[in-house]
Amino acid sequence: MKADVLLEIRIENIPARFITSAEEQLKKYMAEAAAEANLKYEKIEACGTYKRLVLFMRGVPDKTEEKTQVFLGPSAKLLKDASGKYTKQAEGFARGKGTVPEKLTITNDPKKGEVLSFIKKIPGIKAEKALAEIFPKIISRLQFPKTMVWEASRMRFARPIRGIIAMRGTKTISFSIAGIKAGRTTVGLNSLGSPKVVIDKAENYLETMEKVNVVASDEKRQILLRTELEKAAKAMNLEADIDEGLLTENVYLTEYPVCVVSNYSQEFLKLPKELVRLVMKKQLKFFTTHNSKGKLESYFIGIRDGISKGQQNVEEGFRNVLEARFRDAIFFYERDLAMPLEEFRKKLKTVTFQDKLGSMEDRAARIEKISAWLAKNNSGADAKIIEAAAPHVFSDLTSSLVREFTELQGIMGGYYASHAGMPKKAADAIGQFYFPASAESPLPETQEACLVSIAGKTDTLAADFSTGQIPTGSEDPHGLRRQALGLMRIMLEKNIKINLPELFKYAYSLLPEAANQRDISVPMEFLWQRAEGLFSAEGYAFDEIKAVKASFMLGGDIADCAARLKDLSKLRSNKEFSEIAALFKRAKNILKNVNGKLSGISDASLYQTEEEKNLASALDKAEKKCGPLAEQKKYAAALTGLLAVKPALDTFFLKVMVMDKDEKIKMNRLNLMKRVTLLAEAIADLSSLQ
Amino acid sequence: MNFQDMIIRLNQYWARQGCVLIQPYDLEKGAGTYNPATFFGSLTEKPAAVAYVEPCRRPADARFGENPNRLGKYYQYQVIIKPPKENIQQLYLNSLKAVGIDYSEHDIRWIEDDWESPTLGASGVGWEIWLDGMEVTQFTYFQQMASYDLNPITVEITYGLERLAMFVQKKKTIFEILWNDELTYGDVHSGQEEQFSHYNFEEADVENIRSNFVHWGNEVRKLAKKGYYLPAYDMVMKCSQNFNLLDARGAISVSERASLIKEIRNLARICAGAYVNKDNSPEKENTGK
Repeated sequence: MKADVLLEIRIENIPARFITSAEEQLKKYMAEAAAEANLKYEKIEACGTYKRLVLFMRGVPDKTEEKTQVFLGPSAKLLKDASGKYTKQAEGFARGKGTVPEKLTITNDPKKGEVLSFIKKIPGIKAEKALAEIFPKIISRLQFPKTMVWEASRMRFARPIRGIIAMRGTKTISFSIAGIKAGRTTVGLNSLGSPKVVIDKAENYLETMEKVNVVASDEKRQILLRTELEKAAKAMNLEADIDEGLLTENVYLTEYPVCVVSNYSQEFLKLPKELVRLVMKKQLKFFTTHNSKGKLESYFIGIRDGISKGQQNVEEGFRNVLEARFRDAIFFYERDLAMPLEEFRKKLKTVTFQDKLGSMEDRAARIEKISAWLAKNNSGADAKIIEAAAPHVFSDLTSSLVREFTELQGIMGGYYASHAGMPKKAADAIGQFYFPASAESPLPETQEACLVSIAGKTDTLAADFSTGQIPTGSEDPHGLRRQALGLMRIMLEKNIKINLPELFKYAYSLLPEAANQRDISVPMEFLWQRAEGLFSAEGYAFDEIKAVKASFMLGGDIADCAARLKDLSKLRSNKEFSEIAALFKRAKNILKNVNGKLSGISDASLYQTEEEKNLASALDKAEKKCGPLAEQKKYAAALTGLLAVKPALDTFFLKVMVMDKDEKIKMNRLNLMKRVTLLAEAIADLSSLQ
Repeated sequence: MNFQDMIIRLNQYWARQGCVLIQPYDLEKGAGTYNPATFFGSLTEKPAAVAYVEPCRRPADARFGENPNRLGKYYQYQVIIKPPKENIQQLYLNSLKAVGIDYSEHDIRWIEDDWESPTLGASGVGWEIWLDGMEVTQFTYFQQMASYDLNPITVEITYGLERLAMFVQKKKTIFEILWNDELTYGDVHSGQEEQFSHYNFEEADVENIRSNFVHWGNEVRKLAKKGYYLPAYDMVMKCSQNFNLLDARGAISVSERASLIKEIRNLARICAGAYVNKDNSPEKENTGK
């Protein structure tokens, strides 16, 4: 008879961020152990709360299945001697495996040939017995970001284990771990004093727990919380800001989430809205609300664990704590507002950026210069705005509020700048200096804000690369990948043209002498990898992306790369186009083995055949046509223009042998090939296409 | 419930749980953990159960009595239990009932917060406990003390008495807390925050403190060598407190800060070593890092 198997590991409040990984591990280890023990099942599931990790195996038979184990012995020839008696070797092998020579078989081993073998059959055992061995093992295998000891056996786990349920159907599975005996008893909600709960049958676990208000299923709790939040907000005629990260955190901080709706004094709405949101979200894990127009309202939804008894106490408590936090924030905010911006900036001298790389003031000074360089090279930008904003991008780092709420760096700077009378565009540039905050987050809005933000990212990358701090594998302590990705996104999405190699050359020149690793190709390659990621996320094929890399490395104009890529991707499915791409590839392959540099200029006096002349004249025409088209960024037309070369190139390959015996003729033909590849590369390197 | 009643109730509750009620230690300290009862108490194999009120000083937190929620001097209620009982979380929740808080009518959250003290070379795993969103207690399973791995493990429960009283009495500032039925917390501590703020931030004699620091460090080494770990540890407490004062005075650079912390940690380890050796539990010697 099949039955469900249940394992509940009850622990003292485990951190929310540990839980989902533990569930995944439980499933994985259980599947591995079941396979090894030959224990069948229909399905493995896991769920959990801060207080319990739960594993189910659905449809488990009452026994494991028989296993066979094959032992290989000496050569098959050694089974019997000439007189037909078992040899000593055969008898010895059999004895060693606890059997008799009559039970030996012959197996064909791929390496040794025919050998004696013994096939041992291990009968199935009771599922409960198998699980009693498996469970302690998989519990011990669980890994957590941090572990502790708490009892005499000194087992390591995330938090103390206080109970274990292990059952198959109605039967308990007995084992013990960390001084705890497995059984069928657990406890209910903390808020009800953790009353004892007895599970009669593994299949009934979730239902039994729900009856005592423990929603053990993560999924169900998530739906419950979302529904309750929406309901609570709707009752106030508002909408809740449901931040997914915050929702998940609350799901794992509760066994039965209950919404507590409350409000706070309107006077706190004069605080920057980012600050109001942060205090509620990060410090108290509350949800903020907004009206139908998206405006922040002075109502919030806090979450409590368990029951709604004493709801008024909790509401009042939540409000008091929140208002106390707000009062702290106002205390800092008003003190900061009373301070001139220049004072903040002066204090940057005392903040170290990195060894070898000076203080934050040095860094601010570099960013000022890089911003000015960018302003000069982007005629459309208002240099005055950039000049006003750039010196103060880090000034808020020394403000009281940012020291308390580091996540608000930049944003507070924007508020302080605006308070100090800076033009809105400049204050916004400071406020958006760190944008984008993540891969999908908004970018700085204006061109000026974009340039100042690019200056900051450039300095970060240049500073770290120049001191040999290049991210490897999962190690990226300064978030350089995010910075580089942000830089690429700004240039790409805001269509900002910058000569990146020149920019990095300049950024390097501003660094202290000790920061002396200044290879331009390092940031260029690093940025290109981010660009590849962006392009491939847009659905471009890898070979297409590779075809435009050369144009990026040359001038770093990512928006231009995107334009080339777009046209290339559209045209490549065209049959004629893929044919010509193959021809370009062939030309490039011929050049692969040539040592030394080719000029890419062919000499008409050295042409030996009609085919060479025809190709040269086709190239003349195409160069004249495609070159200017590419310059005007009409890449589709330029790529199409290449097709005109196809017939001449085709016949050339058919009739002409490039590697002529005469060195001069050979070199001239190679230069023709070079012309062919140069022609394409000015638009996109077609030889990359697969 | 007024402040002094709260302390009486906690004392009664934890005494019933088998705790020895001891009195505060007579030296300045930043937290109840520095009390020798906790420092030495966690290092041996002997079971322990101790509770006490501990006045604490954090010079840099002083705010001239202007901030309603922050003090430079305040009180902790400290409970130490070794080995921890299986129902220790529930025991804590029941202690709230003792001071009039029925946990079933409030929201109690255990928020991950792994405590550590770099100067003591101590660290643990645990939580800060939120009572309707207000942090009122730190609950820690010590893992290391004075850089020694502990065995058995000690649990430390530290109540912020002012926070708890504000909650129980529904007060918005610490100074309004009723100490008894007539006097407020502010009355009892009149002038304290203001005067000590001036001392901590402006008046404390930096040169004198620095030279004391060196002097006491030498004392610790001398005393520990002779096995007088108790007076030696007194000097560690003094060093630690002087470090906090220097910090509040803004007299420590980043690199000096790191080296002073390391020095205090070394001193604490020397004391612990002297104690553990004298206590004659050889297995302890091997667990030191």
